[in-house]
Amino acid sequence: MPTVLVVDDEPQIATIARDYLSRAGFSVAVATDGTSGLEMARESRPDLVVLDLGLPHLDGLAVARALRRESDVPIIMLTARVDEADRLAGFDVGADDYITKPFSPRELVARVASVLRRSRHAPAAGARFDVADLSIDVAKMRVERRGSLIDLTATEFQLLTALARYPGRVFTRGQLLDAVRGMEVESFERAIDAHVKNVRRKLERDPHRPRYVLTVYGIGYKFAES
Amino acid sequence: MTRWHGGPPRYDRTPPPWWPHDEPWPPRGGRSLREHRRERFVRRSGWYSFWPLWVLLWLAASFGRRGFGGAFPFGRGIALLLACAAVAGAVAVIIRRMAGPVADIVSAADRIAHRDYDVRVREPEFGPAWVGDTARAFNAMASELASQDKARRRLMADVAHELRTPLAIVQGKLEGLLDGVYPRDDERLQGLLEDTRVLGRLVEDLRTLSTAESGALALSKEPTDIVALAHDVVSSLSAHAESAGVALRVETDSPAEIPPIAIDPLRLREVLTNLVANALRHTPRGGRVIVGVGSREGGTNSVEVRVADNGAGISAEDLPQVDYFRAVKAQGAFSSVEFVARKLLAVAFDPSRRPREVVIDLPLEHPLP
Repeated sequence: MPTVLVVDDEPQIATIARDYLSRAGFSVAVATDGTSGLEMARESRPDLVVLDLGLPHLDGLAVARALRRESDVPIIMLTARVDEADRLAGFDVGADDYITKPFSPRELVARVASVLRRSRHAPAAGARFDVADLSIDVAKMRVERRGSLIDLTATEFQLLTALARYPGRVFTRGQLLDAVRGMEVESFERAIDAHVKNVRRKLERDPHRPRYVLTVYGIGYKFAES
Repeated sequence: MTRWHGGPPRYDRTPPPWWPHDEPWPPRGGRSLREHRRERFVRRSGWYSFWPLWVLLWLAASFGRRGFGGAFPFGRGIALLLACAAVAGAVAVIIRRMAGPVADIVSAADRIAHRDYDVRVREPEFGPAWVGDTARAFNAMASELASQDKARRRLMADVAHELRTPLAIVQGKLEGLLDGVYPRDDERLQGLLEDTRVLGRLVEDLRTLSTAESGALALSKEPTDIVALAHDVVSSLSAHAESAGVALRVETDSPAEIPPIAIDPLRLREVLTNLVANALRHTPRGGRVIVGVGSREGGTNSVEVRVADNGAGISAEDLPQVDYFRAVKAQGAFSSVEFVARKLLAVAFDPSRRPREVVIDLPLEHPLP
């Protein structure tokens, strides 16, 4: 039974999340502030963390950052902060999904299940993996679609690999810039857009209606979930 | 920027300061109506000043010539005419220079009418003082409008933010009832009713806030015993403190010295209640919250009320860049009342010199002896 840690300082929200998640078959633990949330995450090693951003003692972003340093446990931000800048900050520290209050608890359960499915299926830093109808060979830097080779530059390949390893997960431009080694350090984040455009031109049947690399408006990009 | 009739449009190499960042410069697709009107204004100011001046000077000159009794040589007449034209032209150029800044202000005002408060006009380097004064006054007005607009937007965002959590609770519970997660009984319904009351109180706070913003919130000041008020607040929250496992008490330095202070007791009570409740919430079990009343350190003309706790407090690095309201929000709490306090109790609301303390500074009308 997968375990989920819910960290929210509003006990009623935590209770609702707990009741719904446990009914859906998850084992749920609850923490009501940042410090104890971090401690519980370290001790009980949950399969997923649902994290509020506005927490007493230790802010949610700080908790997420600390968690990311130690593990790649999936994190879903559950928060009343809806500004684009906040979402961006959330994804930047490595959140897997972002749900804004008010939310439907049913949707929370669905997102938790989806993120868990994604993280379980995420290939380890292996040499070869298949995603959608693509087959990516990291060692040889080759991408094939149904047997036919797609010709990508090194940067485009790294970009595609970073996205395709975690289908459905949103990456900010900053994260993608980090993922693409060899690009000049001072590269402007919007340079990513140009590379994505090239990847799409080579990969997509219709680059204007992409099926693989999707734009997440105001945030960045993600690889389509199958 | 200035142009005669015909010829291709000419633009400065850099856009004017009020030009929006997200619009291309020079503007594509021909000049806008606004730009056209601006140039026409400048052109006509020069043109309409040139001709009357020229005619006036010419008339004066020809009158002068006749005054000399007709003995005026033809060559000199031509020279005089040219001189008149030159003077009129020079005056026209000066007038056009003045018209430029005025036309800038007209265009910028047009932008402000369309809610673009970032526009600023360039202060002219030369020309009469009144043009520069107008430009400066215009810029000051634009800054003020921009800051008001920003405050309004932030307030709206904060209010929306604060409504989200109680709404999420109501939505979650209702869905739980429908989905059979929770039993459909009176106890649940009672709880939901209480939740909607919380929402109602928030909306009421919002109303207080908006009246505070517009400056229409009336204060009824009366001489108030601050120490008694502090004790009152503490005793009303003692049950809450007990269940949270936090020690709560009032501390005063020589209460006999504190005279009644003219203040709105209801508002101060709200503010204190809120600050203490907030402090209780952020203090771990076994901690303490102290409401301190005393005369201001190093000064005798004010009394300060401190709410100090040994919880998380507001982090010191939060303080310089955020105002008090935001700092409290960062702490995870919201109260319009605190905001009202800062704005309307007409007291200095010191966000504290120390991280775990909030200080309200109440001015005494008559200094302590």
